Amino acid sequence: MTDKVAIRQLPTSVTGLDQILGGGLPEFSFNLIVGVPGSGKTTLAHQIMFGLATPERRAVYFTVVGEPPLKMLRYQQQYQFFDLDRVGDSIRFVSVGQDIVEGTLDQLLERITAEVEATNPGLVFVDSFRTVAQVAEGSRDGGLNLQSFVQQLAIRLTGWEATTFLIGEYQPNEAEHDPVFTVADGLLWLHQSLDRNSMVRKIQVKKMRGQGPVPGLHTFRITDGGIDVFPRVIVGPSEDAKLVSRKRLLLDIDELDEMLGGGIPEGYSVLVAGPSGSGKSVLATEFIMAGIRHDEPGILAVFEKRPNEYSQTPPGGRKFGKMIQEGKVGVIHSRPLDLSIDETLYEIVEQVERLKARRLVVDSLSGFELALAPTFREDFRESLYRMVAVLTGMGVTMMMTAELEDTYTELRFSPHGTAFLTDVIIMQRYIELKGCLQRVISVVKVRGSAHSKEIRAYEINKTGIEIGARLRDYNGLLTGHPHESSGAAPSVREPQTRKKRP
Amino acid sequence: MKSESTVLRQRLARVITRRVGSTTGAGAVAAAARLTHDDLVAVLDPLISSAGVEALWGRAFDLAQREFPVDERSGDDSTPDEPYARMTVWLEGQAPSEATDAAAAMFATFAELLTTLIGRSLTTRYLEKAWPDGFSDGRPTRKKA
Repeated sequence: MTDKVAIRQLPTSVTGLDQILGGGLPEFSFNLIVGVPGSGKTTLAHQIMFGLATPERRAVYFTVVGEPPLKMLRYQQQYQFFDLDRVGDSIRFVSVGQDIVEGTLDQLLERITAEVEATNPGLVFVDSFRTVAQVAEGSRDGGLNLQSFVQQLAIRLTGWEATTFLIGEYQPNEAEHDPVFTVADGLLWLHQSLDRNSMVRKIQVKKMRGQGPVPGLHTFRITDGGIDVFPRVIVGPSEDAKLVSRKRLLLDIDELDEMLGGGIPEGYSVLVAGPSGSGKSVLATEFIMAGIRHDEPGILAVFEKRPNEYSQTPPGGRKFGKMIQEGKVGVIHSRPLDLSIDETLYEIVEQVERLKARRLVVDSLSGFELALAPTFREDFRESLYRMVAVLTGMGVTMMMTAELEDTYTELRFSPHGTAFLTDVIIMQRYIELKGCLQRVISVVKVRGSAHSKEIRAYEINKTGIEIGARLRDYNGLLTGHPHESSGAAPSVREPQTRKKRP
Repeated sequence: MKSESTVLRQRLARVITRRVGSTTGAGAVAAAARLTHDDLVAVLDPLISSAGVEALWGRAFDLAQREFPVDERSGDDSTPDEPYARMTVWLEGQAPSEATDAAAAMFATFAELLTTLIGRSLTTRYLEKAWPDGFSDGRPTRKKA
């Protein structure tokens, strides 16, 4: 038994926010929500308020000069969380703009206190307290200064058992040393940055007394539903320690499974690299379809094509489309150019948990990189590392495709320098053989496992990928211009047609 | 079938008539309108600020003046600065039979403007508090001219 005070954490109902706060909002805490204009401060405050306010824990939202209350009410009610039925019983809006324009900070403090005493709210919001600061700076009347005002407000509202939020506009560089910030128990900083036509919003919990928030900047998005925060994934020891499993996941392409040493080890990340048209998406589709046959649900994260292109493209397109329609295969389709890895990861993890997915395809890395906001492309490798670590740490086996332009002068596996992140590399290439383009496939790496080193011809036909024999009669295959081995009879054994799988 | 706006005006006319009581004349209507306005301010000031109420009321008053103009020759040449004094002058300048309709039109326009900006649900909720005897079923909506 402990005599320590237990601080109750209030769930905010803002997706991802509780996680970065360190579990929720400490009850009776005094918090600041600050950021540049348009960064989503008022929206966040409203969403928290509508999530927490009840007839038993009422909220009072004080509007000070700043965004006119008429406009705030007009625009905020467009969000789905704005429940009109709660206004009145659970939520009360109070405009105190005139008090600050005509009076002093002392009068404003008394006005807020009187309202709080009259309504006994559990939640108090003051929007915007920066306006208060500006008015305070303008009136040198010898009354309260802003710091004293905030300090007294904090004491009074905590005394009234209210969880309080002060909302204010601050530029990132101006508030580092503002004494007001020392008074607050919690400090939420909202950022937005424009980078090559792409806008990225980020939130930082700079401070949350009594609990451990997740450090760093976390991306968030504002939609009709309100704010969704995507906590930055920090790879911990549990994710870093790869799931130890002897299980192998089959592609049901017997020759390729054999080349891989008996399938792909569970929880591995696989890179399929090859030029355009080499069949990377076909292989990835087969990986997912084989998973359904083996009761290992899969997710397809599409960043290049449209999902219906997979169902319209033979081989197996119709069957694959049916699996998607029946909900056996989860599809994530994102083509915006302002994604963050964390947002994508959030969506993938949500689907993995919902479908209990064991397999994931990211098609393709190039499309994924392009879908990210430019600011995230700069640290694409680092972000991808985090994503791979988290998903494989969950036991998901992921296959990523990467388009490579064949140069025939160097052996590259990924334009992103991401090959080192992966446990398995499957390489597809074109070579010129007897006046024709011939596809060849090889397994470059399977971490911790024996695998074939052969370069084998393959074709894509109506039943899928058909792998032929090793091209043993040629040298210089990777130069794109093979020549016959001396003394050997040149031959390319045609790939055998695979038996259809049920 | 009567339009929502017509129904609202009739309801507000009843509110004003009730407040006028047995007194007659446009002056009595002006006094009742002032009371009706004060009720409105008391309820809406905390919600949308006094500046917000004044802005909407100014617009509603302007639109109502266009609909119910007063004969300028009949009135005093001087126009008071204070908006409520202007409302009194305007209502007192109406024919006794029209003063109530003019006041009702002004408040109905106010309600419709508010509805346009913050929606019917919030408007109804707050105006019910201001005018419980006249607004309970009113559904103010306004088409932009």
